[in-house]
Amino acid sequence: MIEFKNVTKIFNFKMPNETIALKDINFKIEDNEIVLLKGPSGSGKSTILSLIAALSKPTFGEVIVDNKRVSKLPDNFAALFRREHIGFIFQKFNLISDLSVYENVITPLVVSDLTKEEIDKKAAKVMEKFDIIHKKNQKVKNLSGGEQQRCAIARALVNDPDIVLADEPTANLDEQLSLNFLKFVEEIKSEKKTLIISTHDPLFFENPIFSKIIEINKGRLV
Amino acid sequence: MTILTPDVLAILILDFIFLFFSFIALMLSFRIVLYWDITKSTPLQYSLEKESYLVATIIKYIFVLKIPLFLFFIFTLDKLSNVIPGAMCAAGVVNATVYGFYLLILKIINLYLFGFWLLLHHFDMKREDYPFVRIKFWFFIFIFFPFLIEIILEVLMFYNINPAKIVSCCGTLFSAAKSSSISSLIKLPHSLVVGIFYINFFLILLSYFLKRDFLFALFNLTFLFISILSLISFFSTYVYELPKHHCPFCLLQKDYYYVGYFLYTFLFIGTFFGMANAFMKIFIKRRISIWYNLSLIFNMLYVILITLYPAIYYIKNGVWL
Repeated sequence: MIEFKNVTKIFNFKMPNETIALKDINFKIEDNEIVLLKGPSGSGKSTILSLIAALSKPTFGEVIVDNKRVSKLPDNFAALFRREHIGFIFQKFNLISDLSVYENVITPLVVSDLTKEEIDKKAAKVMEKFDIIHKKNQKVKNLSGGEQQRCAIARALVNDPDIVLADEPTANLDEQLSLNFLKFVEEIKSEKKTLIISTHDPLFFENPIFSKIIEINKGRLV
Repeated sequence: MTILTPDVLAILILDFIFLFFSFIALMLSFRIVLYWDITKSTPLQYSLEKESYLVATIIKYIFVLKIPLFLFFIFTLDKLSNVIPGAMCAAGVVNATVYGFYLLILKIINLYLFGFWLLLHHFDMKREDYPFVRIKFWFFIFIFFPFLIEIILEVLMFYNINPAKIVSCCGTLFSAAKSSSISSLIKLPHSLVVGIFYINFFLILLSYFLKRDFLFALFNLTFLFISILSLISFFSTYVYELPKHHCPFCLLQKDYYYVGYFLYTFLFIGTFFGMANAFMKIFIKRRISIWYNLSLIFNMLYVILITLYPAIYYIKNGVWL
């Protein structure tokens, strides 16, 4: 379960250029829920995702994930928490263009204690699932948009995370690729994972796959 | 006249860098110990959590670097003996000013204190609930003062060494003929000193097998003193194969295959882990078996290495010195 308790996030706190990104946010997300986090650009969606992933800390309040106060984790434990529990799908995919598909996919596992054989096995499993294994040795920069998308999703799931966070995953995609992404959402749902998609893409708004919609505007829940 | 060789300059520059960063760490440590409250989710607490990570990292790197720098310091003293008239080894340099002896003692004490802090930090970082943050930073505040005094003494020592002034050599300083505290130690009957040395080691073994943690630490502390004493009064003469030469510094020279570095490293590591157990048991409430084993292994290496010298001498010559 993910819980936000009175979370406020202020960038440059007590500085002249202070910016309130989130203000007194409270919500709960149960395990295996598929959640749509919607709101216009700059509303605070990405900040919420970064707080869940323990990439940043709130200014006030607490973020609790699976009974762990992730907002209180020391940096070394926050990294460990992300490695074990979080998969991230970024806007524009954030793939490393000069590396191969395989090398991109195994990135989250490089710092783990797994052996090369275990890493290969996990990578092969997700690449197969997302139909990208035939391109495993090709450099990412030579792939089509759809292939890059599948590579990014495979990378997010390679560490078998409980929670998958997708930050504007269709922002730069054409309609066909956006529809493809929805198919992947179905697959992720079948794996019993918690998925939070932050988007302002209307394509998602009426989709029945989402069990919960959290709407945010100017850092406040609507 | 001051002596400023590249080695001395390196030490002094590092001292100032360490002092600068440790002073920042001290200021922030006060803030952390005063306002730390892990139950709170306020901006102050969140900023303290970030700061504690940063400050602890700064302290860690200072202390981690100070440990090998101790060996470099000794090496530098030994090297300086070539330019100071009268000095034959580091002993002459240590005694070239009134600060040298106190500095050396303080450096050894600080080595142990830095090591204990690093262990405490290590265990604090292994838990996600910051269990030892307050203790760790209080301990740093406590250590800061001997650390500061060490740096002051170091600067004073190097500043006051006069390369034009003739100093006493180790043969004079560690001579039984002199009427000093060192000479009175050298005059102690060898059988008594060596007997206490081996009994002390036996007591360490006994407390190891009986798992008496605090006794183990206590015997390690006494072992540190008695080892240095027995080294000066008895064992060193067999390393040099000279009955009147008792210097604990000449062991560090090339002529004796730098054996001193091995001996002191074994002794310091062995006794450090021997005492670390009792120290950490206060906080973590459990026994770290590997430290006992490490302590015993290094103390044993020390005992074996130092025993070999008189043993081999006796086998070769059939007499004791």
